[in-house]
Amino acid sequence: MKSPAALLRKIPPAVLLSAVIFSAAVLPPLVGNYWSQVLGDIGIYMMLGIGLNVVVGFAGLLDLGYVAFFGIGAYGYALMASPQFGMHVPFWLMLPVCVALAAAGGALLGVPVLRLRGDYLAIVTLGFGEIIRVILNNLDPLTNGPRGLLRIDPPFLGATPINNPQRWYYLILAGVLLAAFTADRLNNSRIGRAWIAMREDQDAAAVMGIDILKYKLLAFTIGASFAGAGGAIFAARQGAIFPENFSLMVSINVLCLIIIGGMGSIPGVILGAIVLIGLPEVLRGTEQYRMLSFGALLVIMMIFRPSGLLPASRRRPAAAAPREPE
Amino acid sequence: MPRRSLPTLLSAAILFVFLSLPAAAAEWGTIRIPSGSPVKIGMGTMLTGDYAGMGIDIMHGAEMAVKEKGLILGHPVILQVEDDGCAGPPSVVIAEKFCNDPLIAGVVGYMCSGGSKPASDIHNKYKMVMISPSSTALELTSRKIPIFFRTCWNDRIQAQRAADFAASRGWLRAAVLHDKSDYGQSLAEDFAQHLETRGGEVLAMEGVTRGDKDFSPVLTKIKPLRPQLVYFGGMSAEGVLVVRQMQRVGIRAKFLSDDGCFTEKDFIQAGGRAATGSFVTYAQEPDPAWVAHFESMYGPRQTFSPQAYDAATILLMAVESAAERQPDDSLLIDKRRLRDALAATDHEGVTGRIVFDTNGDRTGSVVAVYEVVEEGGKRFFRKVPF
Repeated sequence: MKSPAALLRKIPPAVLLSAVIFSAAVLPPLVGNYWSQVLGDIGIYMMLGIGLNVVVGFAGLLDLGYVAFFGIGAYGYALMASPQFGMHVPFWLMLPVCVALAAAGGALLGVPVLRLRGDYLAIVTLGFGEIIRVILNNLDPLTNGPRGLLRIDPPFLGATPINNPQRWYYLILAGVLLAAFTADRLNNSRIGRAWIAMREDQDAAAVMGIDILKYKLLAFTIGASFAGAGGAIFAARQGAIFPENFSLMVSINVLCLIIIGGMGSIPGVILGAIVLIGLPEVLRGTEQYRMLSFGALLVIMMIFRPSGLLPASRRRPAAAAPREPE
Repeated sequence: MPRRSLPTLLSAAILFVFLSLPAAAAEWGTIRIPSGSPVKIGMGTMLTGDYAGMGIDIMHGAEMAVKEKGLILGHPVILQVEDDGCAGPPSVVIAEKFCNDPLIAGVVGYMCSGGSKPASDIHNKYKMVMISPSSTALELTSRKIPIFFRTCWNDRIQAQRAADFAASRGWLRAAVLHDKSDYGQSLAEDFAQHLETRGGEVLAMEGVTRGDKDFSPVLTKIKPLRPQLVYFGGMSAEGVLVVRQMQRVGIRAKFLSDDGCFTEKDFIQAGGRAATGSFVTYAQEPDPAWVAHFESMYGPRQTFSPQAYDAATILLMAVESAAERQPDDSLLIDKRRLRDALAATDHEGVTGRIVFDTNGDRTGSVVAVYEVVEEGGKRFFRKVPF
C-alpha cells in the first residue's frame, strides 16, 4: 500500500502547486472574516516556520530564540508607524527596513555563537530571545514598556487600506508564497547544499572546503529576515503589540510546527502551520478541554508519523525516491 | 507551460480576487435576529492558563446574569464564551468571530487590557458594543472610541485612591514595586505620582518579573530605606510572595496592593499569617445577598464576577430597550440605538450604581480599601472606613 505522500508525488508538482495556490486564493470570500483572520495567523506562522526552517531544517542549527527577530520586525515597524513618536512611515517603505533590521539581529546573534553546537547553541539562542523580550519590556522611553504600542498604521495599497481580515489574507498569502519560493530556491542552490552538508557533519563539510563561518552566519541572517517581515506584518495587522506577544512560546510553537511538518521540508512547514495553529481554532468548541485534546492529537501524530507529516525528500531513506542528480 | 508564466498568472489571479472583495461594512447598521433564533452575548475571557481561575469566575458572573434574564422579547438569550488567553492575538481572532456572527448583539470582555486594546479597535470597526468587566488600562477609554464600556475602574482611579488612603494614614515614605506588566506598572507609576503630590516620598520604584518566586534581593535592597509602606502593583501570584518574604527579610512596613490581590484563595489562604494586616484596593463590596446566591451556585467567588454580572445585566437591558420586535417575531436591533442605550445606563447593580461618563468609564467612587483581618481563627477581607 502506498502512503498518501507517495501518491501525492505522482501528481506533477506544477499542477499540484497551482491547485493549492488557486484554492488558497479563492478561500477568503467563501469562509468569511473570522476564518480569514485565523488563516492569516496561520500564514504568519508559515512565514516564521519557513524562516526558522532555514536555520534549523537546512543548516541544522537549533535556534530557540527565533522570536527575537519576529519582535525586532514588529517593533521596527510599530515604532515608525504609530503615535509613539508621531511618525507614520508607509508600510512598504518599512518592510525592507524591518527585514534588514532582523537580518542584522540575526548576524549579531550569529557572530558570538559561531563556535557553539547542539545544546550549547540552543541555550545561547534561548537567552538571546529572552534578552530581546526583556529589553522591549524594560526600555520604556523607546518601546513604552509593558503598555505596548497602540494604533499602529495599516498598510495601504494605493488608496485602499489593508484593514480587514480578507485583505490581510491576500497580503500574507503573497508573503508566504514569496518566502516559500525563496526558501525553495535557496534549498536547491549551492548555499543550500552547503548548509545540508554542514547539518549532516560539520567537520566533514569543513574538510570539503565549505566555509563554516560564512554559511552559519548566512543561515542566521537569512532565517532572521523572514521573521522580520513576519513581524512587520504581525504589528500592522494587530494594530497593537506588547512585549508579552514575543515570549518564548512563539519560538517553541514555530519549532513545533517545523517538527510536526517534517524538518527541512517546505510543504511540511506549511502543513505543520495549518495543523498547529489551525487545530486549536477548530477545537474551540471543546472549550476548556481544547488544549488537552490538542496535546493528545499531537502525541498521536508523533507516534504514527514520527518524522513529520511531509518529511523532506533528502531525509527519506535512500530507497524511497530516485534523486535528481546534483 | 513555460515556467515563468505560472507565477505571473497566479499573481494576476490573486490580485483580481483581492480587488473584487467587498468594501468595508457600513457605519453602525442593524442586527437582525430571525424568529426562533436566540440572541447571543459574546464573552472573551481566559479559560485555560495562568489566570484561568479568574477568567472562569468572570464567566460564571456573566452566565448567572444571562440565566436570570432567560428571554428577551420572546427570544432565548445565550452566552457564547471563548478563551481569549488574556492576550492580544487570540482576542483579535475572537473579536473577528463575534463581530461576524449575525446573532451576537454585544460582548462582555475581554478579560485583560492586552486583549481589550487590539480587540476594541476591531469592535469599533464593526460598531459592536463591548463591556469589559476587568480591563483597567487607561488607554482603553482615553482613546474615546464609542463602543467601549467597562464595569471596573481604570488604573488611575484605583492608584489615586490607594495613594489617598496611604496619605490619610500618614504612610508617606513608600517603596513601590510592580510586576513589569501593563497593569502593574501603570498602577505603580500612578500611585507614586499621586503620592508625591500628596506630600509623600517614593523611596524606590522597582520592577520584578512575573513568575519569579524569590523577591528577597529586591526586598533586601528596600529594607535599609526604612519605608513605612510597600505598594505592590501586580497580581496575587507575586503579591502573596512579596508579603511573605517581607516578613522573612524583616521589613516592618505596611503592605498595600491592588485588586489583583483581592482573592481569598490566592492571597489570604496562600499568604497565611503573613497576609494578615495587608491592605488591598478593590471595588465596593458587592451586594451580600448576591454573593450568597452566587456562591451557592458556583462556590467561592474570586475577583471580577460581580463586575461581569453587572456588565451582562446592563448589556441585556440595553439590548431589550433597543430591540424592536417585528410582526414575524424577528428582532431588529439598531446598533447605534444599542450603543446609546448602553451609554445612558443608570442602574443600581451589585457593584453599586452604574453610570458611564462620555468615554465609557464609570463615574462615582467605585474603589474601596480592604484589610485582611483575623478573627476567630479565620482570615478575611474587611472594608476599611475611608
